[in-house]
Amino acid sequence: MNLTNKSYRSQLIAFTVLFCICVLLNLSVGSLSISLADFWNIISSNEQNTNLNYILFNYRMPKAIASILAGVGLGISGLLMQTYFRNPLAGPFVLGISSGASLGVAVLIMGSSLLGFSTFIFNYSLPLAASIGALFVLTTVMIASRNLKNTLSILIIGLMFGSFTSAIISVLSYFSSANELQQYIFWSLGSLGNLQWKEIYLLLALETICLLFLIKIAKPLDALLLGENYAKSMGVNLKKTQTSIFIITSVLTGCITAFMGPIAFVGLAIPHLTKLIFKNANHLVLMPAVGLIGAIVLLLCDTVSHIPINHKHLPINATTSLLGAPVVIWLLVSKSRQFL
Amino acid sequence: MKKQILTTQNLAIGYQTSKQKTTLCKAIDLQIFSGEVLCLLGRNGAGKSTLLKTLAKLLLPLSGSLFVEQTSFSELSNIHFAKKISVVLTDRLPENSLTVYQTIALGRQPYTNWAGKLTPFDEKQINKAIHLTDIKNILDKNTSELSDGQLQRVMIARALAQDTPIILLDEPTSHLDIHHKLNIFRILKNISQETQKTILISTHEINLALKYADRLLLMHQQTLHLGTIKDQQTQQVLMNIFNSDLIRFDVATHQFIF
Repeated sequence: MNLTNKSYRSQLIAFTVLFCICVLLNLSVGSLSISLADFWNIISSNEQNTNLNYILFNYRMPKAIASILAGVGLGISGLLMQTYFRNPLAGPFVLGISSGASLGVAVLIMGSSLLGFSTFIFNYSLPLAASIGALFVLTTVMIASRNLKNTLSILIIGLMFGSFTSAIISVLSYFSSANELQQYIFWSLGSLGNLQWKEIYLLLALETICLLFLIKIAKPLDALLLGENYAKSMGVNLKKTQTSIFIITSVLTGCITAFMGPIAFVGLAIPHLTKLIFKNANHLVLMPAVGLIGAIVLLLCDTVSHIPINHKHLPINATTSLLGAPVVIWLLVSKSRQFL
Repeated sequence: MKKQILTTQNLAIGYQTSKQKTTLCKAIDLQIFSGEVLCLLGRNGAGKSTLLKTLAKLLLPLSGSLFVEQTSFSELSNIHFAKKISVVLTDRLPENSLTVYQTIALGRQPYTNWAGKLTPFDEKQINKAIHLTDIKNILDKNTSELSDGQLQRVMIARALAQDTPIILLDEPTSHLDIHHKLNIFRILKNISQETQKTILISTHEINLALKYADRLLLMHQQTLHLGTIKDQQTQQVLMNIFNSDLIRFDVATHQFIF
Protein backbone atom coordinates (compact mmCIF):
# COMPACT_ATOMS: atom_id res chain seq x y z
CA MET A 1 0.00 0.00 0.00
CA ASN A 2 1.19 3.49 -0.73
CA LEU A 3 0.10 7.11 -0.56
CA THR A 4 -1.83 6.37 -3.72
CA ASN A 5 -4.17 3.54 -4.36
CA LYS A 6 -3.07 1.39 -7.22
CA SER A 7 -6.10 1.65 -9.48
CA TYR A 8 -5.21 5.20 -10.44
CA ARG A 9 -3.08 4.06 -13.37
CA SER A 10 -5.95 2.33 -15.16
CA GLN A 11 -8.19 5.30 -14.35
CA LEU A 12 -5.67 7.70 -15.86
CA ILE A 13 -5.44 5.56 -19.00
CA ALA A 14 -9.23 5.36 -19.30
CA PHE A 15 -9.52 9.12 -19.03
CA THR A 16 -6.75 9.62 -21.58
CA VAL A 17 -8.76 7.52 -24.05
CA LEU A 18 -11.89 9.51 -23.22
CA PHE A 19 -9.87 12.69 -23.69
CA CYS A 20 -8.83 11.63 -27.23
CA ILE A 21 -12.44 10.83 -28.10
CA CYS A 22 -13.51 14.25 -26.81
CA VAL A 23 -10.86 15.97 -28.93
CA LEU A 24 -12.13 14.24 -32.07
CA LEU A 25 -15.73 14.97 -31.15
CA ASN A 26 -14.90 18.61 -30.49
CA LEU A 27 -13.14 18.94 -33.83
CA SER A 28 -16.01 17.39 -35.74
CA VAL A 29 -18.99 19.24 -34.27
CA GLY A 30 -19.90 22.66 -35.57
CA SER A 31 -21.99 24.42 -38.17
CA LEU A 32 -20.12 22.24 -40.66
CA SER A 33 -19.62 18.76 -39.28
CA ILE A 34 -16.43 16.93 -40.12
CA SER A 35 -16.57 13.12 -40.19
CA LEU A 36 -13.78 10.71 -39.40
CA ALA A 37 -13.38 10.03 -43.10
CA ASP A 38 -12.93 13.74 -43.70
CA PHE A 39 -10.19 13.85 -41.05
CA TRP A 40 -8.38 11.07 -42.84
CA ASN A 41 -8.73 12.84 -46.19
CA ILE A 42 -7.37 16.09 -44.83
CA ILE A 43 -4.40 14.41 -43.19
CA SER A 44 -3.53 12.04 -46.05
CA SER A 45 -4.07 14.33 -49.03
CA ASN A 46 -1.86 17.23 -49.82
CA GLU A 47 -4.60 19.59 -50.87
CA GLN A 48 -4.12 22.70 -48.82
CA ASN A 49 -6.91 24.96 -49.86
CA THR A 50 -10.11 23.06 -49.28
CA ASN A 51 -12.75 24.61 -47.07
CA LEU A 52 -12.60 21.80 -44.56
CA ASN A 53 -8.89 22.11 -44.32
CA TYR A 54 -9.19 25.81 -43.60
CA ILE A 55 -11.87 25.35 -40.96
CA LEU A 56 -9.99 22.55 -39.26
CA PHE A 57 -6.62 24.23 -39.04
CA ASN A 58 -7.60 27.84 -38.53
CA TYR A 59 -10.70 27.51 -36.46
CA ARG A 60 -11.43 24.11 -34.96
CA MET A 61 -7.91 23.19 -33.89
CA PRO A 62 -7.07 26.45 -32.12
CA LYS A 63 -10.46 26.22 -30.42
CA ALA A 64 -9.84 22.65 -29.25
CA ILE A 65 -6.37 23.49 -27.96
CA ALA A 66 -7.71 26.58 -26.23
CA SER A 67 -10.35 24.44 -24.52
CA ILE A 68 -7.70 21.98 -23.36
CA LEU A 69 -5.41 24.72 -22.08
CA ALA A 70 -8.24 26.45 -20.25
CA GLY A 71 -9.51 23.22 -18.71
CA VAL A 72 -6.08 22.14 -17.52
CA GLY A 73 -5.06 25.57 -16.25
CA LEU A 74 -8.26 26.45 -14.42
CA GLY A 75 -8.66 22.97 -12.95
CA ILE A 76 -5.14 22.95 -11.56
CA SER A 77 -5.46 26.51 -10.23
CA GLY A 78 -8.58 25.40 -8.40
CA LEU A 79 -6.85 22.35 -6.96
CA LEU A 80 -3.94 24.45 -5.69
CA MET A 81 -6.29 26.97 -4.08
CA GLN A 82 -8.42 24.29 -2.44
CA THR A 83 -5.47 22.46 -0.95
CA TYR A 84 -3.69 25.61 0.13
CA PHE A 85 -6.72 27.23 1.72
CA ARG A 86 -8.03 23.86 2.94
CA ASN A 87 -11.39 25.09 1.82
CA PRO A 88 -13.64 23.31 -0.68
CA LEU A 89 -15.01 26.68 -1.80
CA ALA A 90 -11.67 28.12 -2.81
CA GLY A 91 -10.96 28.65 -6.47
CA PRO A 92 -9.26 31.15 -8.73
CA PHE A 93 -12.32 33.39 -8.43
CA VAL A 94 -12.16 33.47 -4.67
CA LEU A 95 -8.68 34.97 -4.47
CA GLY A 96 -9.91 37.82 -6.63
CA ILE A 97 -7.62 36.93 -9.50
CA SER A 98 -10.41 36.58 -12.03
CA SER A 99 -11.99 39.77 -10.75
CA GLY A 100 -8.66 41.49 -11.19
CA ALA A 101 -8.50 40.35 -14.79
CA SER A 102 -12.07 41.52 -15.34
CA LEU A 103 -11.21 44.88 -13.83
CA GLY A 104 -8.28 45.27 -16.22
CA VAL A 105 -10.49 44.55 -19.21
CA ALA A 106 -13.32 46.74 -17.92
CA VAL A 107 -10.98 49.67 -17.43
CA LEU A 108 -9.60 49.17 -20.93
CA ILE A 109 -12.94 48.83 -22.71
CA MET A 110 -15.24 51.06 -20.70
CA GLY A 111 -12.91 53.31 -18.81
CA SER A 112 -10.73 54.48 -21.65
CA SER A 113 -13.15 57.11 -22.95
CA LEU A 114 -14.07 58.07 -19.41
CA LEU A 115 -10.47 58.52 -18.36
CA GLY A 116 -9.68 60.33 -21.56
CA PHE A 117 -7.16 58.09 -23.30
CA SER A 118 -7.47 56.66 -26.75
CA THR A 119 -9.70 53.62 -27.15
CA PHE A 120 -7.37 52.22 -29.77
CA ILE A 121 -7.21 48.49 -29.08
CA PHE A 122 -4.19 46.80 -30.55
CA ASN A 123 -3.95 43.02 -30.81
CA TYR A 124 -2.76 42.19 -27.33
CA SER A 125 -4.19 45.06 -25.33
CA LEU A 126 -7.06 42.98 -23.97
CA PRO A 127 -4.97 40.09 -22.65
CA LEU A 128 -2.37 42.55 -21.44
CA ALA A 129 -4.94 44.54 -19.50
CA ALA A 130 -6.39 41.37 -18.00
CA SER A 131 -2.97 40.07 -16.98
CA ILE A 132 -2.04 43.39 -15.40
CA GLY A 133 -5.35 43.41 -13.53
CA ALA A 134 -4.85 39.86 -12.28
CA LEU A 135 -1.29 40.55 -11.24
CA PHE A 136 -2.29 43.78 -9.52
CA VAL A 137 -4.91 42.10 -7.37
CA LEU A 138 -2.65 39.16 -6.62
CA THR A 139 0.25 41.39 -5.57
CA THR A 140 -2.01 43.40 -3.33
CA VAL A 141 -3.44 40.27 -1.74
CA MET A 142 0.07 38.92 -1.24
CA ILE A 143 1.29 42.14 0.39
CA ALA A 144 -1.79 42.26 2.59
CA SER A 145 -1.31 38.62 3.56
CA ARG A 146 2.36 39.00 4.44
CA ASN A 147 1.54 39.66 8.08
CA LEU A 148 -1.39 37.29 8.24
CA LYS A 149 -0.84 33.82 9.56
CA ASN A 150 -4.43 32.78 9.05
CA THR A 151 -5.23 31.54 5.55
CA LEU A 152 -8.90 32.25 6.11
CA SER A 153 -8.09 35.97 6.36
CA ILE A 154 -6.33 35.81 3.00
CA LEU A 155 -9.41 34.13 1.56
CA ILE A 156 -11.64 36.90 2.92
CA ILE A 157 -9.29 39.57 1.59
CA GLY A 158 -9.55 37.90 -1.82
CA LEU A 159 -13.33 37.94 -1.60
CA MET A 160 -13.30 41.62 -0.60
CA PHE A 161 -11.18 42.38 -3.63
CA GLY A 162 -13.72 40.56 -5.74
CA SER A 163 -16.53 42.74 -4.38
CA PHE A 164 -14.43 45.86 -4.72
CA THR A 165 -13.52 45.23 -8.34
CA SER A 166 -17.06 44.29 -9.32
CA ALA A 167 -18.24 47.54 -7.73
CA ILE A 168 -15.74 49.49 -9.82
CA ILE A 169 -16.89 47.60 -12.91
CA SER A 170 -20.51 48.52 -12.09
CA VAL A 171 -19.56 52.18 -11.79
CA LEU A 172 -17.67 52.02 -15.07
CA SER A 173 -20.50 50.29 -16.89
CA TYR A 174 -22.98 52.86 -15.58
CA PHE A 175 -21.03 55.65 -17.24
CA SER A 176 -20.03 53.84 -20.41
CA SER A 177 -21.68 53.86 -23.79
CA ALA A 178 -23.92 51.01 -24.98
CA ASN A 179 -21.29 50.01 -27.50
CA GLU A 180 -18.55 49.69 -24.89
CA LEU A 181 -20.84 47.88 -22.52
CA GLN A 182 -21.69 45.36 -25.20
CA GLN A 183 -18.03 44.82 -25.95
CA TYR A 184 -17.30 44.16 -22.27
CA ILE A 185 -20.24 41.82 -21.86
CA PHE A 186 -19.14 39.78 -24.87
CA TRP A 187 -15.71 39.39 -23.31
CA SER A 188 -17.22 38.41 -19.96
CA LEU A 189 -19.34 35.70 -21.60
CA GLY A 190 -16.14 33.94 -22.47
CA SER A 191 -15.05 32.57 -25.81
CA LEU A 192 -12.70 29.77 -26.70
CA GLY A 193 -12.82 30.35 -30.43
CA ASN A 194 -11.23 33.77 -30.81
CA LEU A 195 -7.63 32.74 -30.46
CA GLN A 196 -5.02 32.96 -33.20
CA TRP A 197 -2.21 30.40 -33.43
CA LYS A 198 0.22 33.07 -32.18
CA GLU A 199 -1.80 33.48 -29.01
CA ILE A 200 -2.16 29.72 -28.60
CA TYR A 201 1.62 29.33 -28.70
CA LEU A 202 2.07 32.04 -26.09
CA LEU A 203 -0.51 30.46 -23.80
CA LEU A 204 0.96 27.00 -24.34
CA ALA A 205 4.44 28.21 -23.42
CA LEU A 206 3.29 29.98 -20.25
CA GLU A 207 1.18 27.05 -19.15
CA THR A 208 3.98 24.53 -19.74
CA ILE A 209 6.33 26.58 -17.55
CA CYS A 210 3.73 26.68 -14.78
CA LEU A 211 3.08 22.96 -15.02
CA LEU A 212 6.79 22.21 -14.70
CA PHE A 213 6.84 24.09 -11.39
CA LEU A 214 3.96 21.95 -10.15
CA ILE A 215 6.24 18.93 -9.87
CA LYS A 216 8.19 20.77 -7.20
CA ILE A 217 5.21 21.60 -5.03
CA ALA A 218 3.34 18.28 -5.20
CA LYS A 219 4.98 16.96 -2.05
CA PRO A 220 4.49 20.12 0.07
CA LEU A 221 0.86 20.14 -1.07
CA ASP A 222 0.42 16.61 0.27
CA ALA A 223 1.86 17.74 3.61
CA LEU A 224 -0.48 20.75 3.65
CA LEU A 225 -3.42 18.32 3.79
CA LEU A 226 -2.64 18.06 7.51
CA GLY A 227 -2.56 21.82 8.01
CA GLU A 228 0.19 24.42 8.04
CA ASN A 229 1.76 23.56 11.38
CA TYR A 230 2.10 19.88 10.62
CA ALA A 231 3.41 20.68 7.14
CA LYS A 232 6.03 22.95 8.68
CA SER A 233 7.01 20.32 11.23
CA MET A 234 7.60 17.90 8.36
CA GLY A 235 10.10 20.22 6.72
CA VAL A 236 7.89 22.18 4.31
CA ASN A 237 9.02 25.72 3.56
CA LEU A 238 5.66 27.43 3.88
CA LYS A 239 6.58 30.84 2.48
CA LYS A 240 8.20 29.33 -0.61
CA THR A 241 5.28 27.00 -1.20
CA GLN A 242 2.77 29.80 -0.73
CA THR A 243 4.59 32.05 -3.17
CA SER A 244 4.84 29.26 -5.75
CA ILE A 245 1.14 28.46 -5.42
CA PHE A 246 0.15 32.14 -5.74
CA ILE A 247 2.33 32.82 -8.74
CA ILE A 248 1.34 29.66 -10.61
CA THR A 249 -2.34 30.30 -9.96
CA SER A 250 -2.24 33.93 -10.99
CA VAL A 251 -0.30 33.29 -14.18
CA LEU A 252 -2.57 30.40 -15.19
CA THR A 253 -5.83 32.14 -14.32
CA GLY A 254 -4.66 35.55 -15.49
CA CYS A 255 -3.61 34.34 -18.94
CA ILE A 256 -6.63 32.13 -19.47
CA THR A 257 -9.06 34.83 -18.33
CA ALA A 258 -7.25 37.35 -20.46
CA PHE A 259 -7.57 35.37 -23.69
CA MET A 260 -10.87 33.58 -23.14
CA GLY A 261 -12.83 35.61 -20.65
CA PRO A 262 -13.74 34.63 -17.10
CA ILE A 263 -14.80 30.99 -17.49
CA ALA A 264 -16.86 30.28 -14.42
CA PHE A 265 -17.27 27.08 -12.49
CA VAL A 266 -14.37 25.06 -13.97
CA GLY A 267 -11.76 26.05 -11.40
CA LEU A 268 -14.09 25.29 -8.50
CA ALA A 269 -15.77 22.13 -9.75
CA ILE A 270 -13.11 20.17 -11.61
CA PRO A 271 -11.01 19.39 -8.51
CA HIS A 272 -14.14 18.18 -6.68
CA LEU A 273 -15.14 16.02 -9.62
CA THR A 274 -11.65 14.57 -9.84
CA LYS A 275 -11.41 13.78 -6.14
CA LEU A 276 -14.77 12.04 -6.28
CA ILE A 277 -13.73 9.91 -9.25
CA PHE A 278 -10.13 9.17 -8.28
CA LYS A 279 -10.56 9.00 -4.48
CA ASN A 280 -6.91 9.83 -4.13
CA ALA A 281 -5.15 12.44 -2.03
CA ASN A 282 -1.71 12.31 -3.65
CA HIS A 283 -1.14 15.48 -5.64
CA LEU A 284 1.19 13.79 -8.11
CA VAL A 285 -1.82 11.72 -9.19
CA LEU A 286 -4.44 14.42 -8.64
CA MET A 287 -2.72 17.05 -10.76
CA PRO A 288 -2.61 15.08 -14.05
CA ALA A 289 -6.08 13.74 -13.25
CA VAL A 290 -7.45 17.25 -12.70
CA GLY A 291 -5.76 18.35 -15.93
CA LEU A 292 -7.30 15.50 -17.91
CA ILE A 293 -10.78 15.90 -16.49
CA GLY A 294 -10.61 19.69 -16.83
CA ALA A 295 -9.69 19.33 -20.49
CA ILE A 296 -12.43 16.74 -21.08
CA VAL A 297 -15.09 18.87 -19.40
CA LEU A 298 -14.21 22.03 -21.30
CA LEU A 299 -13.99 20.13 -24.61
CA LEU A 300 -17.44 18.65 -23.96
CA CYS A 301 -18.89 22.02 -22.92
CA ASP A 302 -17.43 23.63 -26.01
CA THR A 303 -18.79 20.80 -28.18
CA VAL A 304 -22.26 21.25 -26.71
CA SER A 305 -22.15 24.99 -27.15
CA HIS A 306 -21.26 24.52 -30.83
CA ILE A 307 -24.06 22.12 -31.70
CA PRO A 308 -25.65 24.22 -34.42
CA ILE A 309 -29.02 25.63 -33.45
CA ASN A 310 -30.24 28.33 -35.83
CA HIS A 311 -26.61 28.90 -36.82
CA LYS A 312 -25.83 30.36 -33.44
CA HIS A 313 -23.78 28.98 -30.61
CA LEU A 314 -24.00 29.41 -26.87
CA PRO A 315 -21.40 31.37 -24.88
CA ILE A 316 -18.98 28.99 -23.15
CA ASN A 317 -19.47 30.60 -19.75
CA ALA A 318 -23.16 29.73 -19.79
CA THR A 319 -22.56 26.16 -20.96
CA THR A 320 -19.98 25.32 -18.31
CA SER A 321 -22.28 26.41 -15.48
CA LEU A 322 -25.48 25.04 -17.01
CA LEU A 323 -23.98 21.61 -17.56
CA GLY A 324 -21.54 21.44 -14.72
CA ALA A 325 -23.31 22.79 -11.68
CA PRO A 326 -26.11 20.18 -11.63
CA VAL A 327 -23.59 17.38 -12.17
CA VAL A 328 -21.47 18.48 -9.21
CA ILE A 329 -24.51 18.95 -6.98
CA TRP A 330 -25.74 15.47 -7.88
CA LEU A 331 -22.34 13.92 -7.24
CA LEU A 332 -22.00 15.64 -3.86
CA VAL A 333 -25.50 14.78 -2.71
CA SER A 334 -25.22 11.16 -3.75
CA LYS A 335 -21.86 10.71 -2.04
CA SER A 336 -22.14 13.36 0.61
CA ARG A 337 -21.17 11.15 3.53
CA GLN A 338 -17.77 10.27 2.16
CA PHE A 339 -16.98 13.64 0.79
CA LEU A 340 -17.78 16.40 3.19
CA MET B 1 24.31 6.60 29.11
CA LYS B 2 22.01 9.54 28.72
CA LYS B 3 22.70 11.94 25.94
CA GLN B 4 21.77 15.59 26.23
CA ILE B 5 19.41 16.15 23.35
CA LEU B 6 17.50 19.39 23.78
CA THR B 7 18.93 22.49 25.42
CA THR B 8 17.64 25.99 25.91
CA GLN B 9 19.63 28.95 27.15
CA ASN B 10 17.98 31.94 28.75
CA LEU B 11 14.93 31.37 26.57
CA ALA B 12 11.98 33.73 26.72
CA ILE B 13 8.73 32.76 25.05
CA GLY B 14 5.57 34.62 24.19
CA TYR B 15 3.95 36.54 21.40
CA GLN B 16 5.27 39.52 19.58
CA THR B 17 3.29 41.84 17.38
CA SER B 18 4.50 45.09 15.91
CA LYS B 19 2.93 46.99 18.79
CA GLN B 20 3.58 44.93 21.87
CA LYS B 21 5.42 41.98 23.29
CA THR B 22 3.72 39.51 25.61
CA THR B 23 6.18 37.44 27.61
CA LEU B 24 4.68 34.24 28.97
CA CYS B 25 7.76 32.69 30.47
CA LYS B 26 11.39 33.75 30.67
CA ALA B 27 14.86 32.66 31.77
CA ILE B 28 14.18 29.08 30.68
CA ASP B 29 17.31 26.93 30.93
CA LEU B 30 16.44 23.35 30.07
CA GLN B 31 18.61 20.30 29.66
CA ILE B 32 16.62 17.40 28.32
CA PHE B 33 18.07 13.93 27.77
CA SER B 34 17.33 11.10 25.37
CA GLY B 35 14.79 8.50 26.43
CA GLU B 36 13.06 10.74 28.96
CA VAL B 37 9.32 11.13 29.34
CA LEU B 38 8.58 14.67 30.46
CA CYS B 39 5.23 16.13 31.36
CA LEU B 40 4.61 19.84 31.10
CA LEU B 41 2.09 21.05 33.64
CA GLY B 42 0.67 24.46 34.25
CA ARG B 43 -2.57 26.33 34.46
CA ASN B 44 -4.53 27.33 31.39
CA GLY B 45 -2.86 30.26 29.68
CA ALA B 46 0.47 29.71 31.43
CA GLY B 47 2.12 29.22 28.03
CA LYS B 48 2.39 25.45 27.68
CA SER B 49 1.40 25.41 24.02
CA THR B 50 3.63 28.40 23.34
CA LEU B 51 6.61 26.59 24.85
CA LEU B 52 5.90 23.46 22.80
CA LYS B 53 5.49 25.46 19.60
CA THR B 54 8.72 27.33 20.31
CA LEU B 55 10.53 24.05 20.91
CA ALA B 56 9.03 22.75 17.65
CA LYS B 57 10.27 25.86 15.77
CA LEU B 58 6.68 26.73 14.88
CA LEU B 59 7.05 29.96 16.85
CA LEU B 60 10.13 32.12 17.21
CA PRO B 61 11.48 32.69 20.71
CA LEU B 62 11.39 36.24 22.06
CA SER B 63 15.01 35.85 23.09
CA GLY B 64 17.54 33.20 24.05
CA SER B 65 18.79 30.21 22.13
CA LEU B 66 17.73 26.63 21.49
CA PHE B 67 19.87 23.64 20.60
CA VAL B 68 18.99 20.18 19.45
CA GLU B 69 21.90 17.73 19.87
CA GLN B 70 24.25 20.71 20.37
CA THR B 71 23.21 22.30 17.05
CA SER B 72 21.48 25.65 17.18
CA PHE B 73 17.91 25.69 15.83
CA SER B 74 18.75 28.49 13.43
CA GLU B 75 21.55 26.48 11.81
CA LEU B 76 19.26 23.60 10.89
CA SER B 77 17.36 23.64 7.59
CA ASN B 78 13.64 22.83 7.63
CA ILE B 79 14.28 19.30 6.42
CA HIS B 80 17.04 18.60 8.94
CA PHE B 81 14.98 20.01 11.75
CA ALA B 82 12.06 17.80 10.69
CA LYS B 83 14.33 14.80 11.25
CA LYS B 84 15.00 15.90 14.85
CA ILE B 85 11.65 16.96 16.30
CA SER B 86 8.15 15.79 15.45
CA VAL B 87 4.90 17.05 16.91
CA VAL B 88 1.37 16.03 17.81
CA LEU B 89 -0.68 19.21 17.93
CA THR B 90 -4.14 20.20 19.07
CA ASP B 91 -4.87 21.63 15.61
CA ARG B 92 -7.99 20.23 14.05
CA LEU B 93 -7.19 18.35 10.85
CA PRO B 94 -8.56 20.05 7.74
CA GLU B 95 -11.08 18.19 5.58
CA ASN B 96 -9.20 15.74 3.45
CA SER B 97 -9.56 12.35 1.87
CA LEU B 98 -6.45 10.83 3.43
CA THR B 99 -6.65 7.34 4.86
CA VAL B 100 -5.01 6.50 8.17
CA TYR B 101 -2.12 4.82 6.39
CA GLN B 102 -1.59 7.79 4.09
CA THR B 103 -1.63 10.17 7.05
CA ILE B 104 1.05 8.16 8.82
CA ALA B 105 3.06 7.82 5.61
CA LEU B 106 3.19 11.64 5.33
CA GLY B 107 5.45 11.49 8.38
CA ARG B 108 8.14 10.06 6.09
CA GLN B 109 8.24 13.25 4.01
CA PRO B 110 11.59 14.52 5.34
CA TYR B 111 13.19 11.30 4.06
CA THR B 112 11.42 10.66 0.75
CA ASN B 113 12.41 11.90 -2.69
CA TRP B 114 10.70 14.69 -4.66
CA ALA B 115 7.78 12.43 -5.53
CA GLY B 116 7.32 11.28 -1.94
CA LYS B 117 7.97 7.66 -2.95
CA LEU B 118 8.17 5.26 -0.02
CA THR B 119 11.18 2.93 0.07
CA PRO B 120 11.03 -0.47 1.84
CA PHE B 121 12.82 1.22 4.78
CA ASP B 122 10.12 3.92 4.92
CA GLU B 123 7.45 1.21 4.93
CA LYS B 124 9.27 -0.59 7.73
CA GLN B 125 9.28 2.58 9.83
CA ILE B 126 5.58 3.14 9.13
CA ASN B 127 4.73 -0.43 10.13
CA LYS B 128 6.74 -0.04 13.31
CA ALA B 129 4.77 3.09 14.18
CA ILE B 130 1.50 1.27 13.43
CA HIS B 131 2.55 -1.61 15.65
CA LEU B 132 3.57 0.63 18.57
CA THR B 133 0.29 2.55 18.52
CA ASP B 134 -1.85 -0.52 17.86
CA ILE B 135 -3.92 0.82 14.97
CA LYS B 136 -3.59 -2.04 12.49
CA ASN B 137 -7.34 -2.50 12.21
CA ILE B 138 -8.18 1.05 11.06
CA LEU B 139 -5.53 1.64 8.40
CA ASP B 140 -7.97 1.94 5.48
CA LYS B 141 -10.38 4.27 7.25
CA ASN B 142 -10.58 7.92 6.41
CA THR B 143 -9.21 10.14 9.17
CA SER B 144 -12.57 11.92 9.41
CA GLU B 145 -14.28 8.64 10.41
CA LEU B 146 -12.15 8.07 13.49
CA SER B 147 -13.04 8.55 17.13
CA ASP B 148 -10.96 11.08 19.08
CA GLY B 149 -8.95 8.33 20.73
CA GLN B 150 -8.19 6.63 17.42
CA LEU B 151 -7.28 9.91 15.75
CA GLN B 152 -4.88 10.75 18.56
CA ARG B 153 -3.13 7.39 18.16
CA VAL B 154 -2.92 7.96 14.39
CA MET B 155 -1.29 11.33 14.93
CA ILE B 156 1.16 9.77 17.39
CA ALA B 157 1.92 7.09 14.79
CA ARG B 158 2.54 9.83 12.21
CA ALA B 159 5.01 11.51 14.56
CA LEU B 160 6.66 8.14 15.20
CA ALA B 161 6.98 7.49 11.48
CA GLN B 162 8.86 10.77 11.23
CA ASP B 163 11.47 8.92 13.30
CA THR B 164 12.79 11.83 15.34
CA PRO B 165 14.72 11.57 18.60
CA ILE B 166 12.24 14.02 20.15
CA ILE B 167 8.44 13.97 20.03
CA LEU B 168 6.44 16.90 21.40
CA LEU B 169 2.77 16.39 22.21
CA ASP B 170 0.34 19.18 23.00
CA GLU B 171 -2.45 17.91 25.25
CA PRO B 172 -2.77 14.54 23.54
CA THR B 173 -5.42 13.33 25.97
CA SER B 174 -7.90 16.19 25.93
CA HIS B 175 -11.40 15.08 24.85
CA LEU B 176 -10.60 11.48 25.80
CA ASP B 177 -12.22 9.35 28.49
CA ILE B 178 -10.10 7.97 31.32
CA HIS B 179 -9.63 4.62 29.60
CA HIS B 180 -8.19 6.24 26.49
CA LYS B 181 -6.18 8.72 28.53
CA LEU B 182 -4.44 5.90 30.34
CA ASN B 183 -3.98 4.08 27.06
CA ILE B 184 -2.26 7.06 25.40
CA PHE B 185 0.08 7.59 28.36
CA ARG B 186 0.90 3.88 28.44
CA ILE B 187 1.65 3.88 24.68
CA LEU B 188 3.88 6.94 25.02
CA LYS B 189 5.79 5.49 27.96
CA ASN B 190 6.20 2.24 26.05
CA ILE B 191 7.50 4.11 22.98
CA SER B 192 10.13 5.96 24.98
CA GLN B 193 11.32 2.71 26.59
CA GLU B 194 11.48 0.80 23.31
CA THR B 195 12.91 3.50 21.06
CA GLN B 196 14.86 5.74 23.47
CA LYS B 197 12.96 8.72 22.10
CA THR B 198 12.48 11.78 24.27
CA ILE B 199 8.80 12.49 24.76
CA LEU B 200 7.52 15.81 26.04
CA ILE B 201 3.81 15.92 26.81
CA SER B 202 1.89 19.01 27.82
CA THR B 203 -1.14 17.92 29.78
CA HIS B 204 -3.74 18.75 32.42
CA GLU B 205 -3.79 15.16 33.70
CA ILE B 206 -1.78 15.81 36.83
CA ASN B 207 -2.05 12.36 38.34
CA LEU B 208 -1.25 10.57 35.10
CA ALA B 209 1.69 12.91 34.62
CA LEU B 210 2.94 12.14 38.13
CA LYS B 211 2.58 8.42 37.42
CA TYR B 212 4.23 8.25 34.00
CA ALA B 213 6.70 11.14 33.76
CA ASP B 214 10.39 10.75 34.53
CA ARG B 215 10.60 14.45 35.15
CA LEU B 216 8.09 17.26 35.39
CA LEU B 217 8.17 20.67 33.74
CA LEU B 218 6.13 23.08 35.78
CA MET B 219 5.09 26.42 34.43
CA HIS B 220 4.08 28.98 36.98
CA GLN B 221 4.20 32.77 37.14
CA GLN B 222 6.50 33.21 34.15
CA THR B 223 9.07 30.68 35.32
CA LEU B 224 9.69 27.08 34.38
CA HIS B 225 10.74 24.52 36.95
CA LEU B 226 12.19 21.16 35.94
CA GLY B 227 12.51 18.30 38.41
CA THR B 228 11.36 14.89 39.59
CA ILE B 229 8.37 14.44 41.82
CA LYS B 230 10.64 13.26 44.62
CA ASP B 231 12.20 16.74 44.83
CA GLN B 232 10.90 18.81 47.70
CA GLN B 233 11.10 21.87 45.52
CA THR B 234 9.07 20.29 42.70
CA GLN B 235 6.39 19.30 45.16
CA GLN B 236 6.32 22.85 46.48
CA VAL B 237 5.87 24.36 43.00
CA LEU B 238 3.17 21.80 42.19
CA MET B 239 1.26 22.77 45.30
CA ASN B 240 1.64 26.44 44.43
CA ILE B 241 0.19 25.87 40.97
CA PHE B 242 -2.78 23.69 41.75
CA ASN B 243 -3.45 23.75 45.45
CA SER B 244 -6.65 25.38 46.36
CA ASP B 245 -9.52 24.64 48.70
CA LEU B 246 -10.78 22.11 46.23
CA ILE B 247 -7.72 19.95 45.59
CA ARG B 248 -4.83 18.88 47.73
CA PHE B 249 -1.45 17.29 46.99
CA ASP B 250 -0.84 14.19 49.03
CA VAL B 251 2.90 14.02 49.65
CA ALA B 252 2.80 10.40 50.82
CA THR B 253 1.24 8.94 47.66
CA HIS B 254 2.51 11.64 45.28
CA GLN B 255 -1.04 12.11 44.01
CA PHE B 256 -3.49 14.96 43.90
CA ILE B 257 -6.67 14.34 45.80
CA PHE B 258 -9.84 16.04 44.65
